[in-house]
Amino acid sequence: MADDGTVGALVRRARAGDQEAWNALVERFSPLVTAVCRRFTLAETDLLDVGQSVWLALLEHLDDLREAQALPGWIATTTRRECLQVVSGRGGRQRSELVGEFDVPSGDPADDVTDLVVTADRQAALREAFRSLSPQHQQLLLLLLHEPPLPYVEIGRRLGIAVGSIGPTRGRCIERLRAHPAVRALTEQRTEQRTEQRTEQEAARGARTTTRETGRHR
Amino acid sequence: MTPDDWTEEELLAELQAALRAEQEVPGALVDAGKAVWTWRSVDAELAALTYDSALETMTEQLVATRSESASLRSLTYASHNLTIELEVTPDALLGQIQPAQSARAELAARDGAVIPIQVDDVGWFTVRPVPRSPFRISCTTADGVRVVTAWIDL
Repeated sequence: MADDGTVGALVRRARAGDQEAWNALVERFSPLVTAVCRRFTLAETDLLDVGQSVWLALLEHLDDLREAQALPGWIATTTRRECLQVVSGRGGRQRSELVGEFDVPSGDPADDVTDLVVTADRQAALREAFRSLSPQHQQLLLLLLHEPPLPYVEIGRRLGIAVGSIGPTRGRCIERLRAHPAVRALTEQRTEQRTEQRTEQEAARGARTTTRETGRHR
Repeated sequence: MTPDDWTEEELLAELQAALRAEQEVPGALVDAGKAVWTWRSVDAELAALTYDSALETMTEQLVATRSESASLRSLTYASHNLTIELEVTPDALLGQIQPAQSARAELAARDGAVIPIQVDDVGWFTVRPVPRSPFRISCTTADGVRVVTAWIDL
């Protein structure tokens, strides 16, 4: 449960009055808010209006938030709703109507933001893992991701390291990213989801429910 | 696709997308989010909208063929201890705190501006001109009850 370790803890701290935790939540979810707004191709000023409303709603929602894991979905839904309001040009809706509500899917695939939630979760985990690396290793990865690609000789020159060490260090960095708890949690969540889906399907077919896969544990 | 299935190349591509997504976030969005913290009012009761004449009018219009809605808009925000009634006139926002009593009141705008409101002995107040952008009103009574309305967007 990645979200209990990170988002859940941030929510609890913010609720207790920790401003740093609130700032971290804002940073954590800004890419998701942006992604939803981009789907609605909002102008920059509209995006900021939507964002403002979402943050206010989140602040008011903080105290009655029970499941930290539901937060990304809640953020996306709230953002989507605010976007729809901007797009439809209606104003003047009361903030209170937004708070704590979950949306019923409208059936329009263009309005479904679930994929954005999944992507944002994955990307947030990767960023968290990346930030846990040493500055030197972060720098190496950034140079390896440079566009256009840089030759190893150039990377070695910039970092003052031997060309021969780049490949092995890159491998170690990648293993560390993979082994990071936030990234591992993605794998575990997916395994659980798949198991649950399968179980439901089998139950629906009237088949005997299989014992739940234990998933991969660290 | 889970991280376990990713090749090294895929993992790096995912990381690149993740870092890019963060770079594409407008800085002002993050700043606005952090600024919102000042609105946290742990000890205040939230007064929710319980009546809005505009909604009433809309409902009536669904029934009536001709609308005669020249009337003023009125709104009621209620919390457990206090009710704030508002009336929107062309040039001012009129308010009444119920039960009638004096209180310390403030109007807060989203950009962080806070404007004190004069409340008379029987809980009556006037805000001029009518705020154009979303705001909320907070009230503290003599016996320490603190109430803040939901965001109001007229």
